[in-house]
Amino acid sequence: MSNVESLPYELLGRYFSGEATPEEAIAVDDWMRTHQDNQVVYDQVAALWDSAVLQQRYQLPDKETALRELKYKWNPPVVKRSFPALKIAAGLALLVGVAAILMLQLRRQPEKTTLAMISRQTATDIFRDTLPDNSLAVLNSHSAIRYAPGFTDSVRMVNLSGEAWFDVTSHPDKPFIVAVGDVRVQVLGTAFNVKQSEEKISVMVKSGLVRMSRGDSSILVKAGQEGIYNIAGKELGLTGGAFNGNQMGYATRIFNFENITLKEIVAQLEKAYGIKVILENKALENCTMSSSFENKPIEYVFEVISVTLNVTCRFEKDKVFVSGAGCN
Amino acid sequence: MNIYFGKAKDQDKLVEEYFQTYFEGLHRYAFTILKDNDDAKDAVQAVFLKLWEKRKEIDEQQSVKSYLYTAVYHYCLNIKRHQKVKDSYMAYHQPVYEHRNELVGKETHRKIMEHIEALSPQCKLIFSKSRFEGLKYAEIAADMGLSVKTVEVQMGKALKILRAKLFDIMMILLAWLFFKS
Repeated sequence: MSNVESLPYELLGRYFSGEATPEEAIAVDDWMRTHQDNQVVYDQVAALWDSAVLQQRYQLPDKETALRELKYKWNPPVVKRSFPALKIAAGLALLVGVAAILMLQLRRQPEKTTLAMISRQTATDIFRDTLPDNSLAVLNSHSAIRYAPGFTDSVRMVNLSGEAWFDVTSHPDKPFIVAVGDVRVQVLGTAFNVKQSEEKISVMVKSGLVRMSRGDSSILVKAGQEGIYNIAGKELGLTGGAFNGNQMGYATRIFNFENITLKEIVAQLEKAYGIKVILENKALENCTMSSSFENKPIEYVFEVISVTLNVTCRFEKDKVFVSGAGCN
Repeated sequence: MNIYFGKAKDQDKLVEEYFQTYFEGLHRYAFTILKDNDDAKDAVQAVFLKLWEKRKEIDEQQSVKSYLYTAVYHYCLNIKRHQKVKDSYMAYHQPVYEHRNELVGKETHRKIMEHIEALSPQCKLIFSKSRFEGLKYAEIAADMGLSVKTVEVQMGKALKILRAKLFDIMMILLAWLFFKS
């Protein structure tokens, strides 16, 4: 079969072009399995096909996650009972049980196709989006979410890539799930931040409780904790100690600055408030201060800064000019 | 059907086994039609949801396999029909992934384009219409006044030539993909 002349290029061409009939697709899969060399040829042609165009590359999703999502739909109570997480957390079992029963009732509604999904994405700005259930999603820069309009499915599913903050309104009968990479973050009503990077997916929980799961394993992340999924090691875990809440400041506008430089402070404020700050004297960058703000008007924040650092702040539309002597 | 009477649990297991066996192949197939990983996953899940509902009627492996591939095929074609109506669909799908293969993209892409340029004019045109414009074989054949069979042969030829010429690049590319995952 691995004889070069007998390679089924025409069949592969039809397959990759999306022309293959079900029988031909089966033939391709069977051919691949008959010899290891065939698999290699397939991979090469697939890589060639994928790379010719700069668009989405083929990627096999995590099979266990896909199976779990499916089980969730087809038979919640029976399947759920076998999840190890439920044996561990009796309290959660109750919540999931309630959700499962209610879901069972909702299951009779026809499942809508995922066609007309709503999507939002950001470039350098951030974006505040009110979801169909009045939950709040704040997208950090270079991030994207998509979800079904009206959340008509039995779960509120949001697909995320990048980083976003969620303040979820409680609907015990409709679990809220953020799908990010291989990980599912499930909540019933809480506020938390999800951040995806090359090496990890991090979930910082401000209030409430969420469950992070990947395949069959899952962990609970409580308010004040940060759950981490290590992508390379495929491991879930909690970080020790509290996380720095300023990381979520772009969304919450809650800042607790402790002896950090004006340069850093300004960078965070620019994001959270969508303003541009110009430090007229470069030496101002190194001034440090400590202060906390809980969703204060931007004018108030700069008033505190001007008093603390003895500088002058001038507003011009969405620009703020800061002048004064620098610090060493 | 009464063979399975009282064996509901076995049937549940069976569906799961089919999922384990066929998920990858079905997902790849769905992707060739839909060109989107998430949509392909949705399609396979939808098909398995249907199989689950009909699990009492499952009998023999061979027919299930062809049932699954056929169901995925029809589901995807259905989705595609809707996609054509919805322009917004593509509008949001493309940009999200735009930055995805930046690393591998630029250099490999350039080399692949060079080799595509070097194909015979007819071969190049057919490959471009299929790969870049996403046209169906039938559409390409009609456009160029050729038979579908000719399109098929030329596409096969393009892949064969490109694979041979790009063998070295493919090795680097695969190594990169391996490293990435």
